[in-house]
Amino acid sequence: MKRIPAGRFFHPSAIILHPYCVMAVSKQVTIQNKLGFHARPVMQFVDLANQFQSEIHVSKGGEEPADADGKSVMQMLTLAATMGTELRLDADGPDAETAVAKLSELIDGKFGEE
Amino acid sequence: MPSMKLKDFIVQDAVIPELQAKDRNSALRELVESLAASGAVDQSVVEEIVAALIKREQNGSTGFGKGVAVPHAKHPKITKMVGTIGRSADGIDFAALDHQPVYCIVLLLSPENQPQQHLQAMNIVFSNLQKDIFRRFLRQSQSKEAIADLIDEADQGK
Repeated sequence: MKRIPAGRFFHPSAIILHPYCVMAVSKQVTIQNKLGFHARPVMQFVDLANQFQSEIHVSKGGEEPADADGKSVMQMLTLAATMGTELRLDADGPDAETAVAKLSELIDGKFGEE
Repeated sequence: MPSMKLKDFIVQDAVIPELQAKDRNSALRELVESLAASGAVDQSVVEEIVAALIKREQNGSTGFGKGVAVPHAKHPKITKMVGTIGRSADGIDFAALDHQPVYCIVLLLSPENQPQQHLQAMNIVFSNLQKDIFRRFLRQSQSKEAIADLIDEADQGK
């Protein structure tokens, strides 16, 4: 019988509670405000994204696929996501679930615009 | 939609390789006046556009970091997206996100009700500004010709 090397075995609860445990969560969202994901909404998004420890990625499929670090204003501004564009949010980290929930709430709330 | 290119909206005659302005508001004015002098913007709306750009900056700096700023505004008299580039050797305080001076300004003016065009232009501007080499070359370009070459190369994806 093979012995499990010491230190490689975790009780499942340890995985859930461990602060550095990486959790991946993703969600599909649709840009709903008229002006699309322009500079001001991007700033709001990046400000919020930076409040989380998790890594955040935003990607766009379709004819002109793009991928951006959700914590970088410059990268996010290359998405050119107009109204109706579907984006995928990916969060990786201890607070991934909250991050995705809050960020999609911001998008669904049209960033406070029309 | 075919990809937009920098040369589709950057008015090369209006590019300023050595900005005289030392502060944000005068830099915005210098660039808009340069667009007006080149005929890309009607002289009669210069004041309104400068005011709109300043207001936009007050709502949140477009100095997105790494020494670049992308001030932008919409105006009903603008019928076609236009833009210009200004370079400041000494750097200008734009209240940038990273609190660093701004050396390269890409100014964009969009028509109203054309959010797609605006987002496309932002896309092409930031795809380039994100590249270290593009920012470095732009910061070193001391003539209109050098900036025109850089734009050509960027548009060709070099």
